[in-house]
Amino acid sequence: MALTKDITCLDAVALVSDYLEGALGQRERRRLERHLAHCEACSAYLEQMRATIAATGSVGPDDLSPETLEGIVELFERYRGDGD
Amino acid sequence: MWPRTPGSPCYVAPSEFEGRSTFKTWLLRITVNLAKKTGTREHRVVNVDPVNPVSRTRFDSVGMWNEAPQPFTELVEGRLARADVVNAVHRAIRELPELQQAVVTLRDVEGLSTSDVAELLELSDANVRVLLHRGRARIREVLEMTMNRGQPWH
Repeated sequence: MALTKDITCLDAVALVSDYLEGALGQRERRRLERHLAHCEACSAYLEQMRATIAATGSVGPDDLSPETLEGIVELFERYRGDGD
Repeated sequence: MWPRTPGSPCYVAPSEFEGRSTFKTWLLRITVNLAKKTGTREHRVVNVDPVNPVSRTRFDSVGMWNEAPQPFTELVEGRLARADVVNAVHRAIRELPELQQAVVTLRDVEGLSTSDVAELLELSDANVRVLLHRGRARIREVLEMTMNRGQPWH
């Protein structure tokens, strides 16, 4: 791991999903939190990601549109046969 | 209408589906079976090379945002039409590579733990997190585009 103290925004966004999963090591987590403390843009990105995960979780099978169902069936069809 | 041909990779016994299984369970099993099949075909190699979750063009040469991302206020405050949210999320998931679809569906739609997803798909926890990270990044991007479309100045 690099010894540089501060991470860039580009580095920070790469850590956000793991951060929300609680999967970062202590050192990486601290680096990210230090960056977030002074970076509004990355803090906004973190909040976007939280909202994205919440939105994804709010989508249940009852919300599946016929189009989506069709997509699942299509996906399935591609794997059913050996052809194509 | 339903893909239930015996011998197919995603086959779920009709009695099971029509009987006690709910649609959600059926869908979950299809996802898992499909992912397993895909994984087998690809020898379950997950590319773990770093991938920028956000297009590199949105950052300058030293890795700072060119333009800060805007908070998803409309989404968070429930002002975005539910149909738009559902459509955006579904469209994004459908366009993901199959293993990412399976991981995102199981973890973020169905709410399984990362370790349960890893076990179901026969992947390592680390690989599940890599796939999850990419899938979430794409859904975020699609939601961002959906919200920007509603704003005339974009």
